[in-house]
Amino acid sequence: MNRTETVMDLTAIEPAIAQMLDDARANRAQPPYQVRTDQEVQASLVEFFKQTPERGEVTIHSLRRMGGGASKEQFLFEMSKVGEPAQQYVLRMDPLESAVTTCRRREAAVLNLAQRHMPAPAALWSDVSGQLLGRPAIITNFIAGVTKPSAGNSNVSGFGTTFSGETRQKLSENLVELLVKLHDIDPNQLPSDCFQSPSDYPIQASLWQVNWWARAWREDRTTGIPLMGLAEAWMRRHLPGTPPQDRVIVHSDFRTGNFLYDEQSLTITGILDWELAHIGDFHEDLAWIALRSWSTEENGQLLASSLLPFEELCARYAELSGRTVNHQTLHFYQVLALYKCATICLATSAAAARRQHNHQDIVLTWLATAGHSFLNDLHSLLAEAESK
Amino acid sequence: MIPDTELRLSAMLRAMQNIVLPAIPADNQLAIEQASLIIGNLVLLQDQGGREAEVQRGRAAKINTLAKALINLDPADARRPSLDALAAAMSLSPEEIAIAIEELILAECHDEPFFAAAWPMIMASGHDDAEQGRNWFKATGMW
Repeated sequence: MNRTETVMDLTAIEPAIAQMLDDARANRAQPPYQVRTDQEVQASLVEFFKQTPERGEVTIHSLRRMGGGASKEQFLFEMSKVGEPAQQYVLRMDPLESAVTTCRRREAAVLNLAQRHMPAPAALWSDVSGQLLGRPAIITNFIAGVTKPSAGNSNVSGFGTTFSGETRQKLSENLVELLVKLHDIDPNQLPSDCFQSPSDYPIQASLWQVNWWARAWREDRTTGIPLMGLAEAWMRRHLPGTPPQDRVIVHSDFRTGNFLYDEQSLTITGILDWELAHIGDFHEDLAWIALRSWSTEENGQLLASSLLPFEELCARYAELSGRTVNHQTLHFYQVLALYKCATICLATSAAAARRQHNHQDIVLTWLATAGHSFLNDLHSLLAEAESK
Repeated sequence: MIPDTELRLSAMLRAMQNIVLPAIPADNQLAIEQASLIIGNLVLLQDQGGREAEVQRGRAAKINTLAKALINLDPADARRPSLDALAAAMSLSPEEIAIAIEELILAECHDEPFFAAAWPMIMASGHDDAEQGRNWFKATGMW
């Protein structure tokens, strides 16, 4: 295959992702999603643990739905057993469809690796088939903290969050350190049955990502958007290479809104939402942190994830990690990031809400409106590329 | 028509803000969030003033214009399958025409002269489209 044929090979996707997208198609014909009551969820948890060898008979209490997030049904609950104090846990369960298609088996695997190295939930139990809990699910420990200032005012999922000066300084230091720690984990420690690594062929890492999201766009869109076609074409023409040493575990949603912190000590207590994690190029995470939607402007300067200027983020990352940030590669992954966001909002979220396959269709339709802002930013980035 | 849409929207908004939302227990975060989003959507609908059909017609006309401009990039005796597909799509819905435009630019993205000629057309259209979308939903307060 020559390079042109290679970059236009739409089938080159991480095999586990291709399977995940294939499996998700089966849900599309399902009738509207029936949200279960708290009592039904509680009963299914009791039954689940009855069949879990190391738990057996347990008492589930104080179960309540958690707000926030359009991708999972989340419940906080306490579980106790004779002779043990009650502990808090989080049940993360798939609705039929959500803002993104992801896999609980992958999420459990990456969580259990990541939490050995950094503050992150541990996937303590899982029901990836959903046979016992009703839908594919994982159960994690509960981590205390907030995702935004208690006294603040922001929109869904990290949009519009702002921090005070001292908070910003401490959180930004901590966040960059944790990103470097994540990227220093050997990705070969992930189980190969649910995570495959791009090969040494230089453009495979970037090609896999373009194909993943281009497929999601095509399968979920109900209308064409010429700018999306142009963006895909541009990305295929400019696929960057990823040398082996730049291949890392990419969190893929590493930003304000997806970490918990303690408001007293201003330290990060947990990195959340690992469901899009994959093995790829570290530039992808750097690009994502600085998307405008979860960044704020101060004195005319954009603060990545409302924490620190983008250039400073890249410089600190480079210094701590020893990696070289390539600005052309970064620009590519910024374009990809906005393409992904537009896909999530204008295709997958809207489609899931239209089919009434989510417990929060109204959150999905609200999120969908943000797609136009992402398109606006995508246009700006492409215009910048053209002018170089 | 009495009551008009504007009156009904403002009445729903007041009901949600003054009666429904305050009645939700503080520990029911999911219901509070959903009620707040209903309020947000009602504000959006007020801001949009019932002009959705008009906006959709405008968008359809722009897609049509863009498609014709792209078809005219090539002389009739130098046909490409992707342009033939776009020409065939012109009798379909605006959504399908837009999909055919996407497929065209992807199919021809390694034809340098064609891509270079199509780029400014699609960028101009993309800018208009994105701006219109942002303005249409600006009352969400997300940007």
